[in-house]
Amino acid sequence: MTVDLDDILALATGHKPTVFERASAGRNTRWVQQQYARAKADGRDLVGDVDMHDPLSDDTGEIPGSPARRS
Amino acid sequence: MTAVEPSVTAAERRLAELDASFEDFCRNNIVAVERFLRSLCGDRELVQEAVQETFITARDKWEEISGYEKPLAWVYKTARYKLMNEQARQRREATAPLDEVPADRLVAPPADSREAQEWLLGCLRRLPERQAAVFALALEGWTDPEIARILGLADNTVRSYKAAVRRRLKRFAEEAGFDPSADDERAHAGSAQGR
Repeated sequence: MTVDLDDILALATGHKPTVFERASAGRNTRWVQQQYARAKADGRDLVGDVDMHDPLSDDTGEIPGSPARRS
Repeated sequence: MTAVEPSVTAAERRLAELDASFEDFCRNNIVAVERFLRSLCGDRELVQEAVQETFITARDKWEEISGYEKPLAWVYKTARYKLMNEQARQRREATAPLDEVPADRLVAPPADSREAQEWLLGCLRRLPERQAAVFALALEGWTDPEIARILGLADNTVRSYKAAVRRRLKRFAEEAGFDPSADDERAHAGSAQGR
């Protein structure tokens, strides 16, 4: 049996989250919320050196067909 | 006082709305962001760490980020940044090389979407990080200009990386022995060993 690359890519990108993956996403989301609450209570700096700038709203380039953006 | 109560209630309502919208966003996207990082790094623990740190930061700034046209673009960019930081930290602490992912090999074509995805992630991890990131984002449906902005690359670079990755993936598929063009090439070349 042979399959070409496009078939494999289509198969890979067509993957729908399984019940297990959906449950895992829910657990991870709750964990993130808990850790966030804990970090805030501890007064931890959560942003640090992270760039908060919206990467798609930069003023040096343009995205064809996109409306002007504000950050 | 009664004059204060309405504004407190509005603030609380706003916080609850932010919480709910972040929760939806997180639940709907955390798997895709994790998959993106897994295309760049084989260390699941490191990936998990970077994903969680990213979403915690996103939660902290959700009021601002949720106003972006595509908040997910910021999340991908930040997740990659967090992963690179984690990798650098591990490299400093490690005594042995990290993230040496063995070549992914299949004896048969992927039978389902899960296998195909795992094979693809394994292949992408064998490529230069930026090329893998470009291709992984393209597969998630981001346009070339968006990918360029998220990764800080020129549009032309995105296009050339995508083409380069396709060539490499084709070769990986041939090596795994399930790409029909490989049969043709082997037939013509006599022996494809050592390519």
